[in-house]
Amino acid sequence: MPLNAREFDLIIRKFGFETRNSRDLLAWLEIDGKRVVRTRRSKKGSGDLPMFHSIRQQLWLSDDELSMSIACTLGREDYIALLRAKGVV
Amino acid sequence: MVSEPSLRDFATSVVSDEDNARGAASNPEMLLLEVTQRFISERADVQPTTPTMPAEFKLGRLRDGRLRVVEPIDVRRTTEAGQIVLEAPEINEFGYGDTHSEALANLQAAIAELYFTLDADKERLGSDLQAVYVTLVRKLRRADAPQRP
Repeated sequence: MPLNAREFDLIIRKFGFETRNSRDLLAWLEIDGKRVVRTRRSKKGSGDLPMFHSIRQQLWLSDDELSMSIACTLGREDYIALLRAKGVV
Repeated sequence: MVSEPSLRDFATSVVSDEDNARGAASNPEMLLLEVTQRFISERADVQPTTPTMPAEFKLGRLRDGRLRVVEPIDVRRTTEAGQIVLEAPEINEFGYGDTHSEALANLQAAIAELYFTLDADKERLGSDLQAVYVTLVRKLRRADAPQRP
């Protein structure tokens, strides 16, 4: 499913990502003192992000899990548990 | 073994009755030239094909003076939401833009930034980012690093 900038910001804020402004908006997640996930989005435009497929992969989310993240049915603890289950953490 | 047709054979194979009537078959080379010119003029309205960018290619430089590519990076090209997206699946990184050049520059910058970001935190990376860092270290070399013998 497509992802726009507002939804991207909603997800990374909810999951506790740290951000840094560069050419793009960079975001990374630290768990147990380690950087485990990183992603970024364009700061240009307000429509659907052109690389949402790549962003979804960087977040280690399936299409359904991404939808649940946007719909707020997947919280931070659920996301971390999901990352542990996938061996990312 | 089948012999290749000669130029004479090819030219005479495309000769029309009209051409025969004016004795064109006796000079097949000139006939071939005439037929070719005729072919081109009849298709003057055909638009020339524009070269298409490859769907996959290897990236050999980053346009960042601090880093050199010593092992090419695999890149895949797709289109999403009307933009060109270039993906480097080995390191899970991407670039995007309205044109191929813009997407390529975006990807090159993203890879360089990723390298330095991960390098700064190389002692505290999760397993996935650690694997990405190892791949980047294998494929890239700092410009100020000592040359290997």
